[in-house]
This record gives sequence, structure tokens and C-alpha cells, in this order.
Amino acid sequence: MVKNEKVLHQTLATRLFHWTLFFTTIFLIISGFYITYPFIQGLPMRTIKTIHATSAFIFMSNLAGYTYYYIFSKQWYHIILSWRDLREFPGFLSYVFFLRKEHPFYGKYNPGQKLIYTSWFLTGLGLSVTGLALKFKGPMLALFTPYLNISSLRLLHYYLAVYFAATIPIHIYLALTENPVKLQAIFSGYLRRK
Amino acid sequence: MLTRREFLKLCTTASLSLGLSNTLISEIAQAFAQNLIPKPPLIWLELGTCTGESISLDNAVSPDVRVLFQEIVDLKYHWLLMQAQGKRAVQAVFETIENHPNEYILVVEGSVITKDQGRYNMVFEYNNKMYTGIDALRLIAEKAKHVIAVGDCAAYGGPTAAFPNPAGAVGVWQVIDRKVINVPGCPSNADWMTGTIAHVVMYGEPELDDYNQPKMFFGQTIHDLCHRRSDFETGKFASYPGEPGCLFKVGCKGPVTFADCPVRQWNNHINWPVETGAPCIGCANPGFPDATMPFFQHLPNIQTSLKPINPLTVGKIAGAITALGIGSHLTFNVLTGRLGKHWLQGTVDTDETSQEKVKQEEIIMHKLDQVLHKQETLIDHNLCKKEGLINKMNKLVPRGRKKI
Repeated sequence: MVKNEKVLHQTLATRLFHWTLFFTTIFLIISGFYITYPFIQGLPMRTIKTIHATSAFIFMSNLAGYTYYYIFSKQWYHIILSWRDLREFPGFLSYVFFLRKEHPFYGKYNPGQKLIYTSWFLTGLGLSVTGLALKFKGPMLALFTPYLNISSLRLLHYYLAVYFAATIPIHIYLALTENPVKLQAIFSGYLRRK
Repeated sequence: MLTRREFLKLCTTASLSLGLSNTLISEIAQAFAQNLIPKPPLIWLELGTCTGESISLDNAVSPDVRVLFQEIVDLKYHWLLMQAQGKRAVQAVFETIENHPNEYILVVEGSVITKDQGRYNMVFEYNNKMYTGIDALRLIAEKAKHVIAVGDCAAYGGPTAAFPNPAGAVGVWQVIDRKVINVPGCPSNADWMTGTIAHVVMYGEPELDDYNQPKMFFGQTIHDLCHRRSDFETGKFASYPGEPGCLFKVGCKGPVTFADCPVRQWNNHINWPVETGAPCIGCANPGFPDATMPFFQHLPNIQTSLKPINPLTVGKIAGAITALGIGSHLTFNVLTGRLGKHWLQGTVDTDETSQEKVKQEEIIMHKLDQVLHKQETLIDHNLCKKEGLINKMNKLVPRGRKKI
């Protein structure tokens, strides 16, 4: 083993997908909650809607690309929660709540990260479908008839966005405090090993 | 007689200031005079409701109720508007079912009460038998040519079915096993009812959307047609009802309600809520009123037996829980020294069981497998090739000679 070896941890594709997701999500959350309650008088809603729709289009393309990449590079098991992860969850939680000092090796991501990433994937899909139905109505809305009307669909879109917005700070906090090695790898792609 | 296209044009935007207009009346009168259109019998059945649709229809001007019920259709039963009473009135219903099967139109107003076999909604008595709303509906709808549910109650349950819905009120389509044309609204606009009935009489079933609502009246959202739309786009919002500007912030449900109120308007096309400074409450919405309450807030509450859950409160609670969770975890992170340890380790990985090493081993093993597989394939291929060559060479060997 070479000393101070430089190892590729996050591929270029992963980093591109990650940062595109980051920026589009920030734009979507701010513009989305502004649409829910426009608190600045005189700020053109047309512009906010354009920002929201454009970001949503990039977000959905990014989600499709991300899914394609993880399936065809056979790395999906890194981010999707499995039964094995669920069995390991109690042990992981005892580490999170300071009952254990160390946690065992889980692979690229731990069960907590996998839970959040899997839920984000599903939330992203839900937001995309409900968002498209709210934007284009007509045939997209027909997918939900008669179980969900347009009003309930808007409420569902809002709750999914609330979940997204509430879990992002947890991800950022843990990324900043848990492992600086992996944190810098999401920028540079590499990590240096002793 | 008007073509269907001309009729639709009349019903949508072209002559809204004239209602369904004198043009329609004269055209219909002419068509009936020439016996071009058969005048179908009509039964108007009222179930669990406030009679709002009948009152709204009573406000119709052009065509008015008289024209509708005497010249466009042959009204057989309407408990409020008919002259006959008691047994004679109900007899008309049974005679219509018997004498005009698959010819008459059934218009239902009000939701169907289902709790306790519908005993909270008795509609009439005939031959010493009390008929509940649900029984009467099933009986009459069975042989009707068209069933039209007018008002939000008949279409989707409406206010009668609002939480906690003690009477078990539901829409007509949930009770009978056949197509129901829904004309929602609380109440339904007189034009929507007369227009739909006239279309059914003259041209048959109108073009419907996914909720079986006539597209000619419910094809676009109120928000898309609203005359305050420009205020929405430019960000001029009213802070309270009555103020100029878009009423979005005070809970207008126009973006989620499909109806043509802004162009058709109410009270003989004089006015409508938004014009007077009140937000749309989404009364033509399939989920009305639960899906649109509170009326002066953007998003609806979720009704529970304990307390209504407000989405904005849920959002704030979610934010507070996240902030509290991160804050307390950070405190413990600092106090236990875990944060310091992580940051002191810096950005050089010291983890001996790091995933990369495992991954590298996995990759090497995988590559070795691939190489072995390739070699085996190559050997097999070469053997086959060799066998093929030998066979070919053997064919060239003359008869009687020793083959390879």
C-alpha cells in the first residue's frame, strides 16, 4: 500500500449529479415556499414561477440521469436501503445517540444515509409527478382521478417539499461534522489515505 | 337548428353577457316547433341538500325556469316546483318510469345519505311505503336515459359530506353503477345546469373531463380566466379581503378550481366573488369543502377527530424539530469530544476498513474472474475452431485414405 495514497471516492458523474441536485433543490425550495405564501409585495410571480419551473425541469432531468447512472454503473446498492441495513439500524442509532463510540464499517454510506437517500429518491419522484400534474393539469391530473383532486395534490406536493426541506439540514450537518475526509471528496472527488 | 359547435360556442365565451341567451331560446323554440327535437320527460330528485340548486335555477334569466321546464323538457316531478302534491305528485314519478323507460332524464340535487340504510333522508311515500333517497335514486336511475348530478352535494358529497360526515353522505356516482354527468358548484350556476340539460336534450352527452364534468363549463381553472390574473403575475397581492390586487394570499382557491365563473359570473352575469374582493372558496372543487377549508388560507387543513391539522403549522413544526435535533446533537457532539476528534483527524483517511479497500479487492477479484472467463471462452472457441478445421480437412482426404 502506497503511503498517502490518493483514492477516487466520488466519481465526476456523482459530483456533477450531486451539485446539480443541490442547487436546483435550493432554488426549488425557496421559490416553492414563496409561491405558497408570497411575502414580498411587488416581486413578479411570473419570474418566481419561471425559476421554479426551470429548476424543476433540471431537477427531473438530473433525477433521471442519477437513476440511470446508479442502475447502469451497478452502484445502486450503495444508496438504496436494504433489509440488511434495517437490521443494522439499531446499532447505527446507538452510535448516533452517543451510546457507542464507533460504528462498524457499513460500506460507502451508512444505513442512516441510505434511509435519507432512498426517501429522497421517492420524494423526488413524488414531487416530480405531482408538480407536473399541477403545472400541466389535463392528462397528468387524470392519473390521480378520482383518488386525489387537484387541491389534495397541491397539499401532497407541499408536504413532500416540507419533508425535503426538513431533512436537507440534517444531511448538511452530518456531512460537516461526521467525516471531513468524505466531505472534501464531494468537492475534489478524491481522498488521501495514510 | 344550431349545430353542436355553435351551441358550444354559445355556452363558452362568445355571448356570456347574454347568458345562454335569447339566441338559444329562439333556436330551441324553432326546433321544437318543427318537431326537430323530442321533448324528453325530466324527473328532478332532491336528496340531502339545502335546495340551493333549485333556488339557483330559479334565478336563471335566459332561458328561465319556465322555458327550461316547459319548452326544453317535459318536467314530470320536482317536489318544490310542481303543482301536484302528495300521492298524485309521486304517481307521476312511477308513471314516467313505466311509460318512458330509457327516455327520461334524471336530475339529482343533493348528496345520497347512506348511514343506516339511508333512513335519515326519506323523500316520498307511495303505496304505503316510505322511500329513502338512496332507494328512490336507484329505482329512478335504473331506467333513465341520462343521469345528471347538479351541485357539489350530488356530484361529490359536498358540504353534506364534510368531516365528520355523520350521515354518511356521498355523491351520486358512488351509489349507482352507471355514468353520471357531474355539474358541481355550491350552488351550481344556473347556466351550467340549463346548458348541460339543453345539450343533453339537443345533442346527447356533452364532452366530459375526468370527473365527468362538462368541459364547456369546467375546462379551465378560475385562476386562468381571472381578471386579477395580471396582479398575480406582477406580484400585487391583497393582504385582506376587499383590497385591490390578487386574492391568492387571502386563500383564493382559483388555481385549483375548474370553472368559468370569471367570465360567466353570477346573478344574471352581474358579478362574482373575486370582483367584490372575496376570494374564491373553490365550491366547484371535487373535494369541497374539506379540501378547500379554511377559506381564507392558501392550503387546506387535514381534518382529524382531535383537531384540524394546518399545513403551515406542520411545516413550522418540522422546521423546529430539525433545528432542535441538530442543535442538541451538536451540543452532545461538542461535549463528548466526537466533533473535535473528527475534525482533528483532518482530511486524511485513517480508517483501515475503508470501503475503497474492500472495493478494490472486489474489483481485482471481479477482474480475475473476467480474465478466467475470457480464457475459458477462448479455449472453447479454439477447440471448436480446431474441430471444424479437422472436419474440413477430413473431407479433402480421398476415400480409402486414413483420416486425421
